[in-house]
Amino acid sequence: MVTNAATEATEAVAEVIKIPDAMVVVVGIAIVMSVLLVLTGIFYAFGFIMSRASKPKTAKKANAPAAEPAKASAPVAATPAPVVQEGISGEVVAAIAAAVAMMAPEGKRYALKSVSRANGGRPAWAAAGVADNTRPF
Amino acid sequence: MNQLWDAIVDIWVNSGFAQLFDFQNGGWKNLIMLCIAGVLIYLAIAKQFEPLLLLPIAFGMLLVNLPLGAVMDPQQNSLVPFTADELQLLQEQGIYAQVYPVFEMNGQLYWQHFESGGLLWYLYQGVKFGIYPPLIFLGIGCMTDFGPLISNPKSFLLGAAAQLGIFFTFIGARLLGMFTQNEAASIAIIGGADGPTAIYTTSILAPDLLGPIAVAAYSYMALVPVIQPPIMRALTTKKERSVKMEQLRPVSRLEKLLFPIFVTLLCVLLLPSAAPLIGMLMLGNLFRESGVVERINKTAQNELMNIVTIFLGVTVGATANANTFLDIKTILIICLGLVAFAVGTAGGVLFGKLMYLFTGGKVNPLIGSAGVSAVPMAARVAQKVGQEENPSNFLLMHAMGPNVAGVIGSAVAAGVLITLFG
Repeated sequence: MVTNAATEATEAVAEVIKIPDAMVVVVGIAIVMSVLLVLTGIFYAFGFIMSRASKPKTAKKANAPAAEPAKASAPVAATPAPVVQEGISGEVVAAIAAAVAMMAPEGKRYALKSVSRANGGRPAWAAAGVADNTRPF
Repeated sequence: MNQLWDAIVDIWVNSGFAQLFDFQNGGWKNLIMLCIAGVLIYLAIAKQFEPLLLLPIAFGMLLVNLPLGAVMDPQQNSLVPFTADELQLLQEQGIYAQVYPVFEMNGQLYWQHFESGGLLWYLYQGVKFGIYPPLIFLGIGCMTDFGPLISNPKSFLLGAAAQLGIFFTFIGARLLGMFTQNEAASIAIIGGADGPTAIYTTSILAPDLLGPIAVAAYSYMALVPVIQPPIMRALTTKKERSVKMEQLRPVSRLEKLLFPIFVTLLCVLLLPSAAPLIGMLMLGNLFRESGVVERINKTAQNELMNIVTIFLGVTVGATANANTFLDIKTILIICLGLVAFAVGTAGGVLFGKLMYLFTGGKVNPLIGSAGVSAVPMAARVAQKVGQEENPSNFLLMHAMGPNVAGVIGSAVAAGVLITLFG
């Protein structure tokens, strides 16, 4: 009896405070559009800030190439050719040099000094798998 | 001989076969549900309709409709009053107290009888308490690249426009006069084209309708390539469909890192009820973009997602028992689900046309249809329809923006409905 009375009371309250269906639609559409509109604004602003922040760097880079060719010729001439182990072809050395250049942080240049085969019983892929699985948290 | 015959009859009477063919007591309903489960299994395997979820859903439906299987029977805890003899045994030898908990209430002694529930009932608690859908969103966040959205933020608006289907269907369901507000909201969320969101919302607002809504949601998600193109062609002109959009700007790592944080802060502060879905989606994305938690990124999008998908699918399917599924409401849910999808697609395309006008023809309206959050199927459909008009038009990455925005939009819409009716 107590349970029934409580249920009836709850339903009566729910009837009184029931939100009209049209209001649900209006409120729902308004909230969804507003939230995503605000997100649109935030990320437009962010894109604007990022493009402004990268503009001085591109302007400096535009000036730098004029000076760089003069500097570049001297280091290139000074860097000795890498010492390459016998049996490793020029194409392999070029591929390794390209990979090193790609990994270098912006503005830094690395010089390849020597290329030789790695010693070890474990193949490279297996070693990478072991390293991946044993890397600490 | 008589004893042998009696034993055989006894086994038959107590078997599921007897219950299944007991047509006078509703066994025919279970037979129909088994046939429906068979059809869904066929669609999942032969036609590949969202098999990752439809197959477990279909099999869960099959299991629960096998009589006496009790896979979804709830755990039973009851207090049984002691009889006079039992009381004597308790007082003299303390027998019952050694085995069962004994309680006293209003001067009467009771012993607690415990009966364990079915396997799927225990697994279903993850759905009931809203655990599985957010975990699936975690995996989705790990797999999603929000770059196309960040580089073209107006895609957010297309994602929002495509959620019109949800609210249109809500009104439609209410006008039918057969659904309460909670039920109408649960049916309407099918229009978000997002399975986990639909299951999460329905499990809170109308858990009795979980079975038909889940089946409808995943079936229509698989039918996106069939439902959307006619609507897209009907609402756009050839000239509009041929629009080639500008290449998207590159997005920096910092933007991709800040995106999940900003979205979480804004959405959860505005709509706290959306916290589980949005929060887990963005956590997964942060795992992906940070690049420093590769192990858990891989686990979340592979092993964890697969485990949760199995549990979610089977248990949701197991809610579709004959009594709840074979109802006029199920047919109405399936029809309303189709309406929700269609109106959502139309809403996105029409908003895309508006953007086409305001930008002087720079936005292809077809990408608006991708605002329904069936990732990445809806984006692929936009790409395909666009390429039919202009084979050199590649809309896929442009359509991915509204597509992933739709995931956020449907989660926000779910948050609104849960806040209003939960």
